[in-house]
Amino acid sequence: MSRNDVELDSPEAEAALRDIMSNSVSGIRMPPGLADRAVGRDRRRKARIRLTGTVSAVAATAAVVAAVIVPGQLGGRQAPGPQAAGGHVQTAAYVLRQAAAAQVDSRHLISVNHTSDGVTYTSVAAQQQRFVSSKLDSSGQPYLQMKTEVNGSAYTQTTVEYQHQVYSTFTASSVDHGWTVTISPVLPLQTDNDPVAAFQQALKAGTATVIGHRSLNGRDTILLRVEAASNKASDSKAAALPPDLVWLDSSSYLVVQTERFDTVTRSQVVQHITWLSPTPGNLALLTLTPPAGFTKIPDSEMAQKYLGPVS
Amino acid sequence: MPHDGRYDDLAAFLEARGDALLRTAVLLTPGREAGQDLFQESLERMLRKWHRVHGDPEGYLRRIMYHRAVDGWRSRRRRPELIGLPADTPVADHASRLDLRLTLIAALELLTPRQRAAVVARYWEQLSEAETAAALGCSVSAVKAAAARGLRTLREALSHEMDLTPKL
Repeated sequence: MSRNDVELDSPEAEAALRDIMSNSVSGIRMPPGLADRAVGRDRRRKARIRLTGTVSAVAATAAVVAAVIVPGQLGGRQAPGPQAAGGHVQTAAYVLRQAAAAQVDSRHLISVNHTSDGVTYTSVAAQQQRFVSSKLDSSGQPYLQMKTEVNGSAYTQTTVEYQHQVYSTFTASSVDHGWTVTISPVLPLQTDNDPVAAFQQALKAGTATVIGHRSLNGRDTILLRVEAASNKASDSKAAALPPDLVWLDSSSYLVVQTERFDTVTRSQVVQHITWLSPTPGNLALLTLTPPAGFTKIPDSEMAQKYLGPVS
Repeated sequence: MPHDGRYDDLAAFLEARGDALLRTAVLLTPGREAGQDLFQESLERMLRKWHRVHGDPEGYLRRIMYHRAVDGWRSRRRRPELIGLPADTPVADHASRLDLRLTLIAALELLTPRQRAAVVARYWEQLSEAETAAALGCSVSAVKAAAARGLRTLREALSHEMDLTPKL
């Protein structure tokens, strides 16, 4: 028997090595969405093969991109924008680039933000937002619902208060002191003209940092830290605000949770975010129609008389 | 997983064996992210023949992973690892496991791709020499030699972690 045979046949050596290997990988689980990504890529590859035989490469590419954003496949969809799965290099720059691109491409989706105050449905593409308060009135209805819409130069806010069966509508110009009011996406820096460039700049300046992977309710996420915008101002007398913390889904790069400092309430606010495709049923979540029989009142009266308990 | 019936078997297979095969992929590559890439790429290659993979998807996937690890993986440009490591384990446990993982990664880096694959197949997956030879696409004697040399290198590198010296 050679020395090699003796080493390989030693149960103690085998067991010891197996223990080391086992301990080193025991925490590793298949990340959610990995199989979906593989299946999705396989389908797109097959679609590409079918298409390239009959149409130009440009058309095939467009079809593949269209396949990525088909509504109803959000659970396992690829990150919008550049291909993210397979062959990627997950440096901090890569993660931020993917996050910014995902947010840009997610503007047609509906974000559902859960906070302790209630649920907010937002469509950036439609420039519509509806808030449903978690506080209930004596009949079990939400205490209030609020719909905000920006349509061209018109800003409209409708508020329905169920306890007293009243509603109000506030209309103004969407241009406020030279600034155009818009309904913005969830991720910080998204209101910049070029969010991808804004993130690159923030990375260079050290105001945006990728902390690393974190498990969030059993989901694999990537945690970002973004310094509050006001901290970049030159007003050194103002106390520095805590940074925003942003959790991204590790496969789609969409924001799934944020923790931000609310300058009004001076407290940390945690938002849990899910994403919906813009199906007719989901878009209906953005609508708010005052129930029949409710009384219309001036917006100033709504603010002064009825909104106090939830503010 | 899309619910059109074509991938039902795949979902069940991955539910049962996905974690174990992913761990194998991680051991075959220079880190967790590379292991996930290898596993996902291998999965995609298997899906190309999914309608023909009857009875033994695990063996088929394993063969792809090992072949890619030995023939294709190391020829690629080395990629930067992802910043940080997943915090999917308790904090107290995490540091020691991280140390161990890094030590093992460093030790496995000393092996050739075939030695590494042979060691993982024989000592992690506990495949027989014949099964390892089939997975690697080489002879049994080549497996013996690669595993023996790999084990010797590992024993020297990991000697301070655990006694790998066989009791003769």
